[in-house]
Amino acid sequence: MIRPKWKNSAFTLIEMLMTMAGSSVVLTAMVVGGVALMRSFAAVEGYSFSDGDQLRVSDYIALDVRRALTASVDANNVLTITIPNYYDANNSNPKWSNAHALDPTFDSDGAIKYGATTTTIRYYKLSSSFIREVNGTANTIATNVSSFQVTSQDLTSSVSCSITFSPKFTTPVGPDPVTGTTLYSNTFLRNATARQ
Amino acid sequence: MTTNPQLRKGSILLVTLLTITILATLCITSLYIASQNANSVSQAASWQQALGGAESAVDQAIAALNTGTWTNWITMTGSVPNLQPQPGPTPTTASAPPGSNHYNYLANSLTSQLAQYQVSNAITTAGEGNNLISMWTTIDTAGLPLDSNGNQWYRIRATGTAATVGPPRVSNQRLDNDLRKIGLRFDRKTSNSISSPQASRTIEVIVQALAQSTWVRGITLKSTITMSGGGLIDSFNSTDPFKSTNGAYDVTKRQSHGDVATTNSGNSNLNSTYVYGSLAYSGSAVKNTTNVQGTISTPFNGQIPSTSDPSWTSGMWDSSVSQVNGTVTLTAGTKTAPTRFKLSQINLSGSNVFTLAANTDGTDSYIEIWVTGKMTTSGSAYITQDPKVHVTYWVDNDITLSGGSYLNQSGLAQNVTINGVGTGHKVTISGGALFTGVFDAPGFDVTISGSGGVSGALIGNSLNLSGGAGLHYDEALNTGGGNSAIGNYAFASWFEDTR
Repeated sequence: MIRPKWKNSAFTLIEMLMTMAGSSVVLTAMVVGGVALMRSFAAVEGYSFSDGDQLRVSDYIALDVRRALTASVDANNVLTITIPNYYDANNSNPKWSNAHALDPTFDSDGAIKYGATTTTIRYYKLSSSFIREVNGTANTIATNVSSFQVTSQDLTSSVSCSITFSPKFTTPVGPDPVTGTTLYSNTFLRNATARQ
Repeated sequence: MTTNPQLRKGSILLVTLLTITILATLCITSLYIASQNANSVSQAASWQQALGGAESAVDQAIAALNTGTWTNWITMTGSVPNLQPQPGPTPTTASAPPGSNHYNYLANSLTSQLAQYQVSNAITTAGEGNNLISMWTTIDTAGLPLDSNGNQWYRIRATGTAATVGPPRVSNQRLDNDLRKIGLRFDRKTSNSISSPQASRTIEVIVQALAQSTWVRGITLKSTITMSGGGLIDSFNSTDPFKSTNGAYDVTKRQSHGDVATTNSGNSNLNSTYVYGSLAYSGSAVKNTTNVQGTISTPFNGQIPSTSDPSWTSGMWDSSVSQVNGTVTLTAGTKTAPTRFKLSQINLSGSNVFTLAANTDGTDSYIEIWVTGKMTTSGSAYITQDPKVHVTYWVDNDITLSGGSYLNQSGLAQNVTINGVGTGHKVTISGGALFTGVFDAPGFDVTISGSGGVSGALIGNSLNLSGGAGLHYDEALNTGGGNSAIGNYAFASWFEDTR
């Protein structure tokens, strides 16, 4: 006897329930896994960008402090340094195509000098941005900065800074809030000290 | 109703494809972002490595200047170029620092360097990331005139280059690009194409010739050193507020550079007294060195130059005063025209006061005194020296300073130099007051006793340090320079070229 095909294609109730249960487990796992993946991705991205910001700020300050002639900090924690005008033009933004290095000369005290004046560079926090200002032209070099402190006790041989970055990935994984990252740097005033 | 099995199979395929696409997208995106982050970190790392390479090249240049060893250096004519020199197939070997219109050049493209200082030209590392840093450097005079000692300063330009591991791709950290200026497909200075990304950093250093100091250590002797009681030797630095108080020795800021050296130790005995510094000697082993805080080494082959009287001829000194044996005031002159006195003796006793006064304009003042006989203070007599006065004595016979006999109001040892000339004479310092100054008396036997001691430095034939007296070496003396010979080169300027 030949049975109709539709009778063979049906699922039993038990089959349906088992399938739905299995599918639910799989879908739930996919959703949870997907969310976890997204969170992990966001956390890694946040970490990566924060790490990049911290490296950049640290490297900028170290670069400028090493070649600084003077360093000072005011009550608002603005770090001001001066560097020699090493180039014949465009000292605020020298490029290989628009600036040439000057020859050194002796000043009246017998110290080395380049050019007649100096370039002033200021570092400060503005809202949540960290600013590097060269001769009055400001550039943001990092974001999500929550504090900036310069240790002012010794600005004749080294400059010590601490910069706290707010977390980019803030979803707490535990009962406590996610805290920021504080970067400490201590850079030797190599150029200034060489002239003492 | 019948169902179509073909449609069911198609649905499964679609769902499968969709799932694979979603997963693949996630994977690709993750890998892409991870790759970008790795690229960013790689660029930051190579940027740091490039600076290490440049600084290494500067070190090699300073080592060549300091040691006079120019292995693998070549000399070229003309001004220092901005770009890496191209010496040609038969470059001229350098054998000395460059003169005007020349520069010396070293790069790791030359033969691997095996010079005395054993610094290889290229830095190689191992493991992941970039393993090779190359560098080149030049030395020239930069057109600088000679300094006041008649020595030439030099400009050192050094460039370090480190490859950036990864594809030639701009960092996803957009703000990094202004800072690090990584060359991706072209060298940004030469505009030549490059096979892989690289970071390049250039620094320019001016080095000055340091005068070789007579006072490189606290005590330098030709013969024995004997210490006993509470005598000690240590150091401080009158120019560093962390190592002195108002320029004066402070036991709470004691340093450990009170080095002692003797060329013939003989029967030297430290009697387990404290030496906060190192001991170097030639000859028999120095006894009872338990409390030498630094190293003990032998031999010591340092040269101790003899002293001599000034070569003044008649008329070069003020003859209005021929001796000091009572209360007297002598006024100093300028640095270029110091007042000079040639005295048969200085003999102060009772309540005599010998005053060395500054000139009237209040600037640093200089006076030179040649004593052909003895220099003696006793009782409550003393010599007082204005804070602005710098005095140099040449004494041809015994020197005895007792009690509170010398008041150096500047508190700086460099302001009082006593040269003991000849051999077989004595220096005796006693009493409870600290003498601040330096003795250069290689032919004199020196005795320091009492509780006062010496703040400065000493060169003598022998030394007997006893009682509670100490010798506190002023490290600042080692930078003032005692003669015009070049000791070493040191940074006078440091600048990173960020074009």
